[in-house]
Amino acid sequence: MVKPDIDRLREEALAAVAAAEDIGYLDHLQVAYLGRKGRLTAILRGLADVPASERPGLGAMANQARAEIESALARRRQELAMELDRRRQATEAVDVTLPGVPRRVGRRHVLSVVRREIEEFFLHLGFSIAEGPEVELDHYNFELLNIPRGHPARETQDTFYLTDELLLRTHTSPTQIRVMQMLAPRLPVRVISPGRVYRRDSVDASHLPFFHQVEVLAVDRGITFADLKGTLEHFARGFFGQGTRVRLRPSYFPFTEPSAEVDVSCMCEGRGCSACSGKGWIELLGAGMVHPRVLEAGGYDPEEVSGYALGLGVERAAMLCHGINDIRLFGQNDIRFLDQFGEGEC
Amino acid sequence: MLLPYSWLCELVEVPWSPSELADRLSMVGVKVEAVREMDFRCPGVVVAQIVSVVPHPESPRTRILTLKAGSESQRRVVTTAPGLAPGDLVPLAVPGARLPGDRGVEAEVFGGVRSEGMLCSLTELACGQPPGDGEGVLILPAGAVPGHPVHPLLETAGTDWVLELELTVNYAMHCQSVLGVAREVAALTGTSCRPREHAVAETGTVAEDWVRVEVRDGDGCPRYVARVFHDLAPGPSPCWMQRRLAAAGLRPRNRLVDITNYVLLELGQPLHAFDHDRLAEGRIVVRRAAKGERLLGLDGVERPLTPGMLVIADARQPVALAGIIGGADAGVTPSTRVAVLESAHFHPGIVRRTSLKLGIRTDASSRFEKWSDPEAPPLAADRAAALLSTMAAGKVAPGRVEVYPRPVSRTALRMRVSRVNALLGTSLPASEAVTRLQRLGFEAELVRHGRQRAMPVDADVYLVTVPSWRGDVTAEVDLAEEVARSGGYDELPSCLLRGTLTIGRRPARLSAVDAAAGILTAAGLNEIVTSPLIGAAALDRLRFPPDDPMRAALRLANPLAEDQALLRPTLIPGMIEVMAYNAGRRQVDLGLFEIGPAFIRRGELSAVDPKSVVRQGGELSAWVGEEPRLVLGLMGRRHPAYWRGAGDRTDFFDLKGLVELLGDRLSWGELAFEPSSHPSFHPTRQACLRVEGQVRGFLGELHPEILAAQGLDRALVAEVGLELMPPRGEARRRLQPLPRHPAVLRDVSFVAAASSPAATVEAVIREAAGPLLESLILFDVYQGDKVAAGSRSLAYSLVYRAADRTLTDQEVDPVHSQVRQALVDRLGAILR
Repeated sequence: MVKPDIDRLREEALAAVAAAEDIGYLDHLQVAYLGRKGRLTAILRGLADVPASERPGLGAMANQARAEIESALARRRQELAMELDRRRQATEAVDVTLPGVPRRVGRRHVLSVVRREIEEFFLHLGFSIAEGPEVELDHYNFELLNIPRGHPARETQDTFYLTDELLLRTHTSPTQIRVMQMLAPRLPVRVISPGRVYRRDSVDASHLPFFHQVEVLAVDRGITFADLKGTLEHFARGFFGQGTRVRLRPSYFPFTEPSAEVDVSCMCEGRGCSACSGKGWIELLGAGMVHPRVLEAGGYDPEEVSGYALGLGVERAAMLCHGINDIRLFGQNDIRFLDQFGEGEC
Repeated sequence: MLLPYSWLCELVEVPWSPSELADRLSMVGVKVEAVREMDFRCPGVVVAQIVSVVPHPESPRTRILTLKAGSESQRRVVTTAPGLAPGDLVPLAVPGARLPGDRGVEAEVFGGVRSEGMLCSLTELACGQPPGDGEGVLILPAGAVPGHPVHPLLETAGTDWVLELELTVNYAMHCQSVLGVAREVAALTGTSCRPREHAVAETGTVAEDWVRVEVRDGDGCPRYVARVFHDLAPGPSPCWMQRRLAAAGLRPRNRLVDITNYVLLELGQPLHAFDHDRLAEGRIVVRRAAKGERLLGLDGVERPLTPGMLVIADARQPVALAGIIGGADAGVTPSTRVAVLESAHFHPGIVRRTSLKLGIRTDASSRFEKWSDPEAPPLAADRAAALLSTMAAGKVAPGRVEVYPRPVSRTALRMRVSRVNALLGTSLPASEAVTRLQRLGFEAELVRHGRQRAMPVDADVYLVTVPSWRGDVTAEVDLAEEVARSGGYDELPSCLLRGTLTIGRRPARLSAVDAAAGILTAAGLNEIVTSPLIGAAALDRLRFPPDDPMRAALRLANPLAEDQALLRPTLIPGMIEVMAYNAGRRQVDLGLFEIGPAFIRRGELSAVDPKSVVRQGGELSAWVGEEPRLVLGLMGRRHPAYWRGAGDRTDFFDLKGLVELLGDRLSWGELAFEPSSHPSFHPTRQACLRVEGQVRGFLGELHPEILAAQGLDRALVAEVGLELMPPRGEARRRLQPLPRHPAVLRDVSFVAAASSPAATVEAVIREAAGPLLESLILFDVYQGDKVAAGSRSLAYSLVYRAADRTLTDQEVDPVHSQVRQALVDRLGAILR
């Protein structure tokens, strides 16, 4: 009589567990079947009245039923818990297409970005950075650079003067002299000098009364025009891309001899575009071998050492790199302009 | 400089098209900016015969002409040209015709009469320029056929090209002429220039009997050549000459003037013509000006002369400023019968100084002041004479009058081929270097040591003679450039990075600038770059009183404009300008910064002695301080509006937070903020920044007056001096061990007088708490209805910690009680 009771009870309990829809009901079922006053517990207690020979068999049977019900309860409890989580999480949904919280990170001015790019290039080649004053002596800006008073080259650089002797430097080249005078007779000299320069030019799309240059100077025993040419080619490839070619044309600067105007091949590969006005080449910078008189002014013997120098316009480089067609944009600081360029970006 | 292609081809064989020529020239340093094609064909200009001439009813000097141009019907043309008669054959530009220089011709109405075209002068046909001095309508020869185009009658090619040269200073010394460029072409092609026609048919009285030349200043005028032209016939120059002058950018005037200009352009030698009849006693005296002398120039301006100036005078007075400008009194006119042509060599420095002093630049002065070939004057004078006689513009008196007191010798330079190779990185044999120089007109001779044949020849050293026209070549390095460019810069080798390895270093100051910029961009600010040149009005706008030190800003002696006359003594004006610029474009949420120098006058600038400054290392900071500054600007909201709403408006504390962040990250040291009274800021919303006790800057809300004037709402600005901030990276940071024992947290909140600054409250807490207090955070400030007027509620969270043990309540409680008591005792706080 007890055996069918156990079976029936087990079936009934398992069915009830499977049908349970909340965890509270499972707790109730647990108590109702397995609790101290539960129905299976009652059957087990009733075994006392069963003949001793049947007891082990029925006992094992009852214990197995208990284990089955317990495991069904646990399983169902987990199922229901997961179901509950699922339901709660469904109510927590976010619209992933809503815009993210805007974080404002500013940018450096494009002139700083390009200047630093140039600086980094030459730092890696072993050039150190030196600075010079913007208010400069006529002496450093002209005289010692082989541009004495009355020299026609003075006219090509319209100059802001403070007094007869003090002016706003018209180029970064005076740092050549300052650096050499500081270092002589040590060798090698490998220095770049970034900075602001001034020309008495009226404002238009390609002129501002102030702009920025980076001066590059190398002095050592045995430096030749070939070193200059190699450095320029290396720089052009590093700055404008591997395929860039460099073309040197004879030119004139009083503080270099021989002097060269340096063109780089245009991205249009000579097919013609507005950047190079169809010529295939873009004027980039001026360079040359340091003039013996400048070496002397710097405290070096031109019979013993030689050097090269080049001067690069930061605005010009930035305009070429980024397709900026009006130099006034740099000084206007329109936030829509400032927001376009930044370090580590292209 | 504008160079007609056809002219160049006349002087040298050019195997290249105009554009290829332009490339070749650019590559040897004669930079060609552009090549333009010029069309001289005059479409629509036809031969017409005058049928009748009647006066205009309303204007006595105007005539109405009827013309017949071939088979088409008669045309009526209104003209003021005199001397036209029926039967004359004239060039008629019908409406729609185009003259050279792209000048169009349309029908026009004069005094109620419609003119169906225009009669042309030779100058108009030649180059589209207005008629020259006294020039009338061109009368065509009898054989001209009415109705046919006029162009074939002009006997010149219908098109030409003009090369626009941009010459550097050195090339301007020898390439500013057709001959100069022709020499470069000859060097490129390995040929030589074609000789010019100098054969002159001379007639009449010899030149020396016409004019006496005396040079009293042989330094100022080493060479003076004069030629005399007589029986001058006025009139326009031939078509070909007018075209070339016009193509080169000059306006044709009359035969004599055109010839001087033509020779100037062709040979680079400036010429000047005097009217012989107006030279007192027919004399030319080259001398320095006397005190009180004046000269009325050809430009109509009378100028006082000073004794240093070199003049050309007649027996009585100056008639020209040597090498610069002629005088009006002795200049040639269309009625001049006899002219004295001057072809001279003047000292560049004297011409330059005089031209600068008087502020006159002419074609002549700009050449003389650089360099003119001392061997050119006789050739140029002969060339002018030859042109005059072939053009039948007059007759040439036999002989030249020449004064050449001190012959100018050609420069000779020592050149070591080894040195040239060392400079260029080449290994050219001496013969190649010499050949390259010879192509450019140099002569080179090997320098031998001693006279004995047996002595070994040093094949390295040459004596190089520089051509007379190359005033720019003065040193061995100049020869190296000639050798290099003669072979082409493209042919030179290149190499990279030889010699000792060096480490590139960025100075600590610049690293600190980059670090500050990195922090500020990360904090959301954009970098700006503004002009260091400002105006006094910008300082007015900043409300600086007249006696403020800011008013001593450095001033330019020659500013472009008054609003760019000062070197900024502060970066604030630039910041305000950028804020206003952007606000004007409805871009109002801004965070901006700029790092750059402010310029401070530190000493009397006139006391700067350049020589002693250079001797002492070039330091100028005793006179001019270039102080690196940082300026910050905030405006608008902390973050732009988005779907959760807009950010709060930035205020003083956003600005202060940025300064504190910089101070912390850049290890400036101890910062203190104190109320201040800077005129540019809101009187009660500004502070002065002290770093380690020293004033280093100001920060605050801009003064309401400034905001109103700029149309700004609220703007926050800080300016901080970076010069004396401790440099970065000198000592590397050492690790601070992480705390090993837990902290004990205690809060304290109280009401205190609002006039007790937070800094004071914090100092009281720190002092009372002693070494166990690790940090404190002010987490609430309340001022309002719930506390008494004039007081505010403050709440701090205090963190107590000991490095060597875990703190117990027994240890912390008495300390915290001390803090509470101190607040009561020293600040009269009411604890809550």
